[in-house]
Formats: sequence, C-alpha cells, structure tokens
Amino acid sequence: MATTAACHPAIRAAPDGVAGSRLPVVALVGRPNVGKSTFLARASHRFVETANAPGTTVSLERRRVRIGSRDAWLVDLPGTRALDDVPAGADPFWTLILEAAPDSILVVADAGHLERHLPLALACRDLGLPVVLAANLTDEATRRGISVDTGRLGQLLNAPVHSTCGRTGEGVDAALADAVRLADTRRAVLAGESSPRSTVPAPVYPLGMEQQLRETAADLAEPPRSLGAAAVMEPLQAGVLTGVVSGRGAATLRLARELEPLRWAIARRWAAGVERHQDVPEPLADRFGRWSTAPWPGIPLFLGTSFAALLAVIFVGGWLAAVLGAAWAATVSPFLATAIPAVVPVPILAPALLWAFDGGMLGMLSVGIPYVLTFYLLLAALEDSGYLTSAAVLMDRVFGVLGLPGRAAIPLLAAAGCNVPAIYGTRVLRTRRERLLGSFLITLTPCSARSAVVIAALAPFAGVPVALAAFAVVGTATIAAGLGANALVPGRQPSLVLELSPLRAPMGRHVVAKAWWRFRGFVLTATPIMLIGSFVLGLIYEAGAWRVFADVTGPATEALLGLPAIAGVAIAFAFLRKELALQLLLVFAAVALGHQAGLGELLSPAQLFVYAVVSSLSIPCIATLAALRGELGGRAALAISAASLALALGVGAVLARLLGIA
Amino acid sequence: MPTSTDPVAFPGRPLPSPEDDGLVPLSRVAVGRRRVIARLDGSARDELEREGLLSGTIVVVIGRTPLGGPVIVQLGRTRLALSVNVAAQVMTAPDTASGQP
Repeated sequence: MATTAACHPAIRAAPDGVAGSRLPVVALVGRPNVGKSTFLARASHRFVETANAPGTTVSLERRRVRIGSRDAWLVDLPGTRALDDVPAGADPFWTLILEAAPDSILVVADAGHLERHLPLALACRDLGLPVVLAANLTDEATRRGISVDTGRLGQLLNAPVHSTCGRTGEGVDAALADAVRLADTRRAVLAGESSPRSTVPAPVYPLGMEQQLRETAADLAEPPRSLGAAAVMEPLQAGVLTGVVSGRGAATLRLARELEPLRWAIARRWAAGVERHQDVPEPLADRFGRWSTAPWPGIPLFLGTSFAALLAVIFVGGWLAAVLGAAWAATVSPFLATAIPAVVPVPILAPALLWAFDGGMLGMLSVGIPYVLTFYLLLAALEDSGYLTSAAVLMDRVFGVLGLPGRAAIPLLAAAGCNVPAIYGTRVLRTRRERLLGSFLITLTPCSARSAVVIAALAPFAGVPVALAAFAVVGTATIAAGLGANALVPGRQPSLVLELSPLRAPMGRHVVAKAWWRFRGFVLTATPIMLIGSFVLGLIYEAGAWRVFADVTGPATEALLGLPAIAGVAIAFAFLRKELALQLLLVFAAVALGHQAGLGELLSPAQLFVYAVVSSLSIPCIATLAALRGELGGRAALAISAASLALALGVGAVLARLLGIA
Repeated sequence: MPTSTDPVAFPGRPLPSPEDDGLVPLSRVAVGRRRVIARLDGSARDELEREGLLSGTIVVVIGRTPLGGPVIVQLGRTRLALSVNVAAQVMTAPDTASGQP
C-alpha cells in the first residue's frame, strides 16, 4: 500500500478540499483512546502523534492511501463519545462529519469493550452512510480472555466487521479495503452508474421512535421555499439536501438525546451475544492500573515518577546542551564571526546579524533543543503507557482548588518543557474558563529555558538548596496566583468524568515518532522567533537604545526590587529570549561597568535570588504570547501577560524587602 | 428518553423503585459496593450518559483518591473516575440481584 500524506489543521483549510474530492473519502470514527491514530498510522504507513490518553486527536488529519490500485482519502476525526459530543472546540462532532462529507465510515471500536463502543457504531450506521466496524485492540482483548464473533456482529450491525490490531497492523488493510469498496459503491450509486442498494438499516428502535424518526426526516427533507429561507437553513437540513447524510440520518442526529439510551441498551445486548469469554488471570497491567490511582502506592509512585523525570531532564538535557553548544562554538561560531561582517559590512547591522545567527542558534542548541527534546521523549513515553490519566485522577483534587480538572496535569507537565505546545495542549480542557486558568498557570510554570536561568544564576553562587528555594517560591506564587484567578474568573467549578486508560508498555516507534512530531513543531515555531528576537535584541544593544530604557526604568527597578537598573532592562528584554536573561545581564553590565563582570561581582546572592524569581515569573516570552493570542484571543493574552508581570513585580518586591535589599 | 421501567432499554433487570427513599448518591457509596444507577440529577447528565452511566446500569465503586478526590467506579470492564460533585449527581439503589445492600 503506497501512501502520500497531507496534514491540515482542519478540513476547511485544505487547499484542494476533501469534501468534493474525486477520490472516495473514508472517515475514521471512534471513542477517545481506541487507537484510531495508530490505526491511521498503520493504514498509511506513517506514524502520527498519538497518546494513550483521551483527546489526543484534537484536529483533523487526512491522508491519501492506496488500496490495491485504488486511491482514497482517509480522514482521522477527533475521538468522540457520541455524534452530538463536543470533542475539541465549540462545534458538535456531527458537524465535522458534514464538513468531511465521507462516502463511508470506518468505526474503530475496542474489541474488549464492545458494549461501550457499539453505541457510536449504531449512531454512525443511523446516518445512512456505509459503515465498516474494526474491532480493534484485539491483543488487549485476548489478554483479558475476550474474543468477538465478528460474523454474528456483522449480521446484527448489517455491516462488515473486522478484527484488527493497530499495534501490529493485523486486519487493518482488510477493514480499510472494505470501507473504500463501500465508498466506491455509494459514489457509483449517487452518480447513477450503479443500481441503488439501500443502506438504510433494518429498524432497531421501538415503533414509536421509528415513527418519530420518519416524521422528523420528512421535515428535514423539505427544501427551503425561498432564497431567504435557504440562507438561514440549518446545517442538518443542508446536509440532507446536499446528500451528505440521509433524511433519516439527520433525524437521528436531531433526536440524539432520545436515541442514545436506546443505543446503549441495544449495544449491551449485542455485545453479550457476540463476545466469547475465557477465564484468564488478571493482566499485570490491569492490576498496576488499579494501584496507580490508589493512595498507596499511587502517591509515592506519582512523586517518584515526577522526580525521576525531572532528574532525567536536568542530567540528560544538560549533557546534550554541553555537547551541542561546544560543537557549535567550536565549528560554526568562528566561521560566522568572520563571514557576517565580510558579507554585510554595516556597523550596527553586522553585529546584530551575528546576535541572530550565532547567538540565536547557540541559544537553541544549548537550551531549547536539548531540554525540550529530552522532555518530549519522556512525556511521550509516559503518555503512551497510559500513566498520565492515572496521574490526572490522583491530582484532580489538587487541581480542583485551582479551578482546573485533573486532566490539566497533562499540559501543565508539558509546560515544564516549553510553554508553547502546552498552551496548544489546553484544548483537552472543556471550557473557556478552564483554558484561561490553565493557560495562565502554564505561563507561570518555568519552562526549560527559565529553569536553566534559575539554576545557572543561583546554583554556582548561592548553592543548589537556594536554587531549589527559588523554585519553591515560584511554585508557591504560581499556586497563590491560581487560587486568586479561580476566585476572580467567573464560571463554574470543573468536574471530572474521565475514562482511565489501560496501562500499556510504551511502544518505541510511537514514542520516538510522537516526540519527533512535537519537537519538529517546537523547532519550526521557536527558531524564527529566536532568530528575529535575537536580531532585535542585537539592534537594541548595538544602537545603545537599552540605555534609554535603563534610565527610564532604573529608579523604579532599584526602589521596587532592590536591583540595579541594568537588571530591569535584562528582565524586560528577556521577553524576546527568556534563556538569555542571564547573558543579557552580563552583557549590559560589561558595557555599563566598562569591564567584564561576573554575576557574583554584579549582584549579591540576595539580589540574584530576586532576579531569578522575577525573571522566571514575569511576562511570557514572545512565542508563548503568540500562542496565547492564537488560542484565546488578544485580550486574554494581554490580560495573562499583565497578570504575570504584576505577580512577578509583587513577589519580587516582597522578597526584596524580606531579604533587606530594598 | 426511556424510563427505568422501559423493557426495551433494560430487559430483565431488577428495577429500583422511583419512590424508593433509600437512593444513595454514588459519592457516598462505600468502596467495594455494587449499585444500580436509579437516576441522574444535575448538569452533568449528558456527560455521564456519554460515558455509559445510564439508569439501570450496574456500577461498582472500586476506589477513592485522597483528599476527597475522584471516586473510581467499574462499569463493565471500564474504569471511570468521577469527581465528587459529579458522583453526587448519580443516585444509586442497591443491586438486589447481587444481594448487596
């Protein structure tokens, strides 16, 4: 099977559009955490970002696949629990189906939990589109002594049913081939090239409900009587009139609330009829899953895992940073130092370009890349194991105090690597309030760059315990800010309803592929910002504009924080490059003092402590600000920035007074 | 919406009486107890139904997290975590078939 791939944030944005494509379109539909993305990876022979946690697929992805000699589009839709569910964003899931306009639906279900997955398959079948069911995760079902009579289930569902295992690829091609075949048949019927074959399934609902469905379908199939009426036509009616769904299918969407309990009851009956059980010992992973959410040993396990991950990031990231930084400094820096002034012999511009291409890239290699890459590999392994959902449940009460559900643990943990992907990760939160509060806490969480500044500023001059104390102050301030924000932002407290993922051994290819996808996104996002930020910083420095800023803000910096004026400048301009907060301080100090000064000469240990805490808490970096604006809007981004600046200055002022420097 | 007396939706299952004063919210059910969901109150109804927590469904409380954290229930072969405020909206009756109170 040959493939070509194309990823898009949304079908709407696709340049050639899947909807209206000449190729058959197969939609992949399934509950969260059923292995859809792995299924897609197997079907298209390319891995995508997946996680053993609900809500991994928060955007649509389409892939062009070849089955034999036939090409088709395969569209991966976000995991959903029902067609009227709102999996990611404000629109119900069925609108994504209307948008993708599939010719057939491949429903991916958990072979070991059919009772839970068949209601969605029934709902898809009700749409009037051809359906194929993939009874997936057969490896896990087998370990639990469960097998499925696919022939019998196919009869009940009136659709092909395949046993599949996304992790090994077993049955995936056959299921996809059936889905493409049915899509082709539907296309031929719609084009008048083939005689119609009814895809309306036999009635399974009580007679009264069937009657209600018929009446609703008739209403929806009524074309608008005027252009004005057509302009306000509801999406369901448009879906019927454009042939994306049948009239009865649209009626089942309108009556989803009434139908859902009936579907669950039918699913329970069907599952009981097609599942075969064998007595097997409880798998170790299941026992471990139970332990992971129990107070004992769940809490020690959580603390141990978090601590081990932190140590791994510090030591592995630090080693990588040393290797990459030294290699760049030894090989590329000398070349750039000669080449740039030769190519651009302009006094201020040449050194500014050197700031960008040498300093900027060195910053990426010595801070961004090593720590973020290490962190992403660890995060991917934890996600793939399913442990993060257990951690989310354990931490739910703690996060509840901050107005967040336990699932916020996942983006907040990611924030310790880089705030930018963590902001995007808040899409797993269900309300705007939760996303606002989560994003605010993310911007206060020290990313790898800010952590490096705190460690480098304090560990050599004041000792590791003082550096840890600074982290404790930042953590305490973050929690206090979270409590305050929870009290101030109007809205309801969060509630948690979360399916606990089964624990699985992380799959090496998944972990590497997922870490790579995130890392690539980070590099593509951060590198241009790092280069431009460094260039602007270079211009400001080389032109001496920072002195003006120092003159204006100096008195306030000294009075409020007990720091010299140049420290305020360094904190402010670190907005462009957070990891340079220390280097900037040294560079400005060298110019201001007229000689190279060490940190210890420039600031006392107490001042270093205040500087590290304030620079860690103050305004998010430019890349985070861009992500905030994109996800929450300009006003929210500004409000979060203002709040973090106020918090940083407030905490800094209190510390300065407690330490006797102001 | 079928009621708990709907024989199509819940065939053959012992039915809790709607008038039963002994309904207990899931948040107060002891660990290890097996209960039948009698009704869902409150705003989380849709959310709970999408997870399969419907009237007539049997659940077993298998754990509680510390500090008044989520209640963990077994629903078939699935484990679900429900925060206490949500679990309080799930009214349960004894599962008479299992003989448990």
